[in-house]
Amino acid sequence: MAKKLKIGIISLTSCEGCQIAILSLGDKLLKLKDKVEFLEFRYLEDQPWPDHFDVAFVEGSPITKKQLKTLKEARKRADKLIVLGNCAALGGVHEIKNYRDRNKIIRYVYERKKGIANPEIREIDNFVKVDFTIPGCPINPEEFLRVLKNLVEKKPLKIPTISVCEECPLQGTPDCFIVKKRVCFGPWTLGGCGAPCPKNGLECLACRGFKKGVNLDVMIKSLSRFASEKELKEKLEIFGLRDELNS
Amino acid sequence: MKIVIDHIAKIEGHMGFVGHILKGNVAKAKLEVKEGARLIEGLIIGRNLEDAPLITSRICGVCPVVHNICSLKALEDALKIEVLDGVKILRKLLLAGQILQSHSLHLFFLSLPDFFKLDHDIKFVDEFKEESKKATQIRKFADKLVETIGGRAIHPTSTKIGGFGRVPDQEKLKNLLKESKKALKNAKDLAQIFADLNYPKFKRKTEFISLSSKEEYAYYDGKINASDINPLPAKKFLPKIKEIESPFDVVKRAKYKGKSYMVGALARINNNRDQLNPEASKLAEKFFGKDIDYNTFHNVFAQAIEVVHFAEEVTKLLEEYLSENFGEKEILAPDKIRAKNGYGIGVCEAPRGTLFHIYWITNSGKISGCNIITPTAQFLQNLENDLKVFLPDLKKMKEKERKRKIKMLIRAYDPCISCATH
Repeated sequence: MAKKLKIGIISLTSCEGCQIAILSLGDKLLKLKDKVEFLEFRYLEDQPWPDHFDVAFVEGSPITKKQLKTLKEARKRADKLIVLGNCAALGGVHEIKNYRDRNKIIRYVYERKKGIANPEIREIDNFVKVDFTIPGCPINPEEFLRVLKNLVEKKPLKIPTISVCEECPLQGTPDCFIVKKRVCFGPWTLGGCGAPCPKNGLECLACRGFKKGVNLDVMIKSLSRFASEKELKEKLEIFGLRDELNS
Repeated sequence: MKIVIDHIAKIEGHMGFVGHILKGNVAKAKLEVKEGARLIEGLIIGRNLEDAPLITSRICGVCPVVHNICSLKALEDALKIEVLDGVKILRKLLLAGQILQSHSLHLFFLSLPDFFKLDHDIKFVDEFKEESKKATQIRKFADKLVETIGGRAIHPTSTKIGGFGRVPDQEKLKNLLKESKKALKNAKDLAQIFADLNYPKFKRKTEFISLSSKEEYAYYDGKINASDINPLPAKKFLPKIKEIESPFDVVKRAKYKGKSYMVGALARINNNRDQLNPEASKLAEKFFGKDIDYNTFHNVFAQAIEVVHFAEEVTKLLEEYLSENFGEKEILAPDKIRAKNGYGIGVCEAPRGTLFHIYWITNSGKISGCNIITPTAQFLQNLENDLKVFLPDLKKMKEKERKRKIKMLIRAYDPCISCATH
């Protein structure tokens, strides 16, 4: 029998929804148990870390010092490090504090904030080398499964490169947000999610990040017909994208 | 004797434990939360009120739906918006689906392997093939239910202030109605396994708090119930709860009249046992009888009963919804909302207990204040107090067994540290 792929699912501070998305695969995940070994996945096991991972998947943001150490340790022990979801890839909802006075925000929540870490939120690739990204809030579990199968079969890793708009059943219909002159980041956002937001009446807020090579100035200019630049920036803060505008 | 568990796996989020067993029956116990603070309440200040349900859903990936709906209810309370019956039924279906999602995960994959001393679920699934299949069916059914109504199994996309962004597909709902009967059968089979487990003996008197309602086994609405008061509306009840800050603790633990208390499945069953659906009621009567149950290990079985109860509830609600032929007029959210300065409370039963979202809003439609009190922040002190009483019983055990028992009690509470910290 071929050697099993040794993987770890490692979580830092987040809602853990990406891990839950993986668990939601159920039988599809269990079918891989002869090919993949889950050496670290806290929802499934209670064992210490191994010395080596073929692949470490990381979810969340390193907020405490201990978590930063965990992240670096994961990188050290893993041949490949893949980030899972919006927090790890783009900063997550908690990145909102980067655009405000974060000392004021912590004082709002805690009267005595002694011993509570409050760093600027930064994406995982600021701390360690990242080999691949599975985007989204949460990740699309089917996409995770495809990546995992490609890893097992040693095939190149890829995710779709189309936009959310191209996947959206509302594109060009009277219900399309853009047709209704409402803000939607779908045309500029990386697809692969199946557009669950716009087709359910919620504008795309770009949780999967922008498509490679899109002109963000053009995006802001196009959308500023429907909302002020300030409003657009505020919307992009939700999934950690406001800082992408300047880079 | 010092006991240190650095890292407790198979709970939601990161937590450790330090305990000391001193002379006689005296022990110290401390739960150490190792989660980063995301400061969610602070993040939404100054933002558009429509952002709150989206952002607060991200408090937790296990129970995002209940945060989302609780947030919507709080905003609607502030805006004085009453939702129509169709919307209410769909929201109840979402909450029931959420409880099924969360309980089935906790019962079969986090808690049950403990009782068989298996440290990896893959081993567990190999040994308990039939049971795992049944558990997976329930979980899958619940995911599908939440996705059909909420737009996605995790982090809903169709829920809005005053209604939904889309009317759910009738055909899919009809199929779910058929599947709900299979889910109920599986839930009953699995509940039997939990009825037969060997729960550690334990008893410590405590306060059980939950929603209660004259109409039903409360989860979407109701008054707050405790043993020493008549049920009170949330607004009158909240002043009796205090969130306590301690240095280096990211969780503000809540106390009721200065004392720790329990929320969640066991609290609900202790308070509202008479209102369980018929199949769930039979199980509860057989296992619990009529008395209040103070063994918090039984929270595990209480969840198993609730899986039966909510499978029955889903069937009932789907039948009710489908018989009414609701259309866009009854379901879709209003296009525009007029904001006024105000304050609103949302309260629901989350899988792990009573959840409060409280907001202050302005005339210009912004959030000006926010407080969220999660179930785990409410019961964490109670769990710690239980551990203090439980520890001396473990004095004579081997270290491995002692740690296993401690982790079992912690997992029986089903703590969610992401929620507790937020």
